[in-house]
Amino acid sequence: MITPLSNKDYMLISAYLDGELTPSQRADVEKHLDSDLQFREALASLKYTKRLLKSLPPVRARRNFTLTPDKVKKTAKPQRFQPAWGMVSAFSTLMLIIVFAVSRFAPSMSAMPAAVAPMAAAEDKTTAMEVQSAEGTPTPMIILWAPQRAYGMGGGGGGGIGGGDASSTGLNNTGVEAPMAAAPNPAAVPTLSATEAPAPETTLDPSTLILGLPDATSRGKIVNAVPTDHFAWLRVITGTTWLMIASGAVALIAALLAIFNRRR
Amino acid sequence: MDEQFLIQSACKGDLDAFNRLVLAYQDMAYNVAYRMLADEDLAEDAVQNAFISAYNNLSSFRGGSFKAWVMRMVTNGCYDELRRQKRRPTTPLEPLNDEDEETDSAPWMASDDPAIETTMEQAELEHALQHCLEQLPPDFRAVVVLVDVQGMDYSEVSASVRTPLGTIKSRLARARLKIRDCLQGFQELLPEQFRLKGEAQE
Repeated sequence: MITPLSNKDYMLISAYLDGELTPSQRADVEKHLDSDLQFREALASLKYTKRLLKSLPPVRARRNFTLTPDKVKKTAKPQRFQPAWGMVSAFSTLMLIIVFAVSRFAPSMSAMPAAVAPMAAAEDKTTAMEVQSAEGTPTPMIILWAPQRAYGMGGGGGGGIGGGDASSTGLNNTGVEAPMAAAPNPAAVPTLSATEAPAPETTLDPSTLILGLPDATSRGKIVNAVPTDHFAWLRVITGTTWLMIASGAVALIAALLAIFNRRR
Repeated sequence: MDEQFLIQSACKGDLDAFNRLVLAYQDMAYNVAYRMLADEDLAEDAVQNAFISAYNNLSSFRGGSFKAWVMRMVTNGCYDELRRQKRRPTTPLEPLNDEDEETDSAPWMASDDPAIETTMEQAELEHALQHCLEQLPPDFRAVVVLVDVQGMDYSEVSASVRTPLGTIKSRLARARLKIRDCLQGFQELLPEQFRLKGEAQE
């Protein structure tokens, strides 16, 4: 049974034809040519194919291709970073889509930093208080109500624990006495003596609430619980939103640059 | 012609020096482009663009064979054109007769004049070869045109198409085999000893 020649055999024969083999390869091919009819036939057919291709008449150009200053000027050199702008734009758009999809379909991930922040703030304050107590300083108990919406708005929501909602339960985790005991009986609030409460500062910080009596000057006044902060909306924007804004801006700028450079 | 001197002058912006290089290589460049694209107009465009590109990128020439470097520009232009054709295929027009009606074959193929028989056979063989070249993938076509039609050596072709030497050898062998087998469809044009009995049909 005759084994057909492999691609490697044909490659060796073809390179032998062009004199592009090493001496050892050439000797190997010549040995096969002496003994193998298939090798000889393959060499003959490839040799003839090469001759036919070589016999193709040269085609002369119908005109000269010499350059003129106008021709060279007309085709301005492409911008070096031209291909990069398109890529950057595409990548930024892809990133925007991914971030949007993650924030849309996995909202717990994007909401997480916002929920943790007040807890951490409250924890820090309570820890500071605990340290003070441990040092023996007769510091009165101050109950902090971190969420602003609980102050001066009549409470509401959050399972009826006298202001704040479920998100404010971080206070419970800190070990500070929750207002559960005091809240059901509003009348109990005035029973706290002025001496039990720390001497309130002259200005009321709406971000915290001290259960106790306000000083004489502040008594009876309605404190504006919502601070007039013109940049408050900036703090509402989460990191994910910032990322989406940045990706969108980069995508837009890169796309405009790509289009502008291409037109040039 | 001192090629190195002309290249250095062209690098400094001497367009006349570059044009002397163009005149030296334009026929070869056109021949390669024509065999790759099988269309005179497309070949002209490819060559013109290749020389403009070569002039604009002359600073990236790092020595070695200038011919191989120019042929790289030409083959790259041909690859671009072939890719464009693949994206937007066109229907070839049949040859027209005197009444502007389509005919099945070109007039020279219908001639019975024995005086031009040899010429006709040569022309038909050239047609057959060009047809077989067009059947090859562009990478294979470029290698076989540069080596067998233009007579460049393997190392120059390797530099031209930016492909390792081993790949050049492999592509060339396979391209030659494909052309050999393709030509069996035009047996009447081939001499008796070249008509394969069984090998090509395996």
